[in-house]
Amino acid sequence: MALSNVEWALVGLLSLANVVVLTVGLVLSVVAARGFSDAPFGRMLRPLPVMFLAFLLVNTPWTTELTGWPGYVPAYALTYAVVFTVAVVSAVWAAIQAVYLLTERREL
Amino acid sequence: MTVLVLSGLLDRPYLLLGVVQTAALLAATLLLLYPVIAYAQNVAYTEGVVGLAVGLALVSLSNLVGFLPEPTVRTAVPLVSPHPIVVTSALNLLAGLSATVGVYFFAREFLPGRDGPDRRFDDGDGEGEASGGFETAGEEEVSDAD
Repeated sequence: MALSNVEWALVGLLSLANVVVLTVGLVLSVVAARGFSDAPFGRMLRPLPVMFLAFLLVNTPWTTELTGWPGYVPAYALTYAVVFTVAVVSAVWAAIQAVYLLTERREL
Repeated sequence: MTVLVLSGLLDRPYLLLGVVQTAALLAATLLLLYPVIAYAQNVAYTEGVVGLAVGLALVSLSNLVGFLPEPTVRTAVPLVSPHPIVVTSALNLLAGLSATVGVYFFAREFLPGRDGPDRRFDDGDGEGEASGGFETAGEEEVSDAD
């Protein structure tokens, strides 16, 4: 059974809310990364704007009717795979930096 | 069994990539939480790190729900019986909220309207008194006019 109209509307609303939230997160992550740019802690924060932007991009199509267009799904699948991978790599990179710094494997 | 699962995954490159991505997200979650637990004295921004970790955990959970067949998800949530996409978008929203709240704790000392990044080293008799002086100066002017 496919999505009902109510479910489509719900997905659209939830995704729209998430896009708004992630936009705030993107701005805050830029502020944080710039603020700590001189500190070693900045290494952990630098990948975060990339992560927020990538998560923002993968959520955006769900707020529109785009997903119903013919030929959209294969294109979306490829784009989604690439952009989501960028998000995942940024998250993992930030986490590795956090572990390096906070467990004193690199000087704080 | 394992071989069957592996060959099934190799037939579906996107599914295989999804599994790798989810595993990487879970690994990142654990990497972020490890210093919070084992090296708590080093972590100055616990709320920020935990917020990000919870966000990544929720995205991982969302991906895992996405792997499940639709009838499984519909029967798993009895009253609403939603489509998996509804569940994943709800989990993604919670993840976005958590990560954004987390990153706010990193950013807040650099936001306008707050004291500068050196506020923790402030000895307390600098800006606070200056702004208080401004306010009382304004009040004095008003009372003089009266």
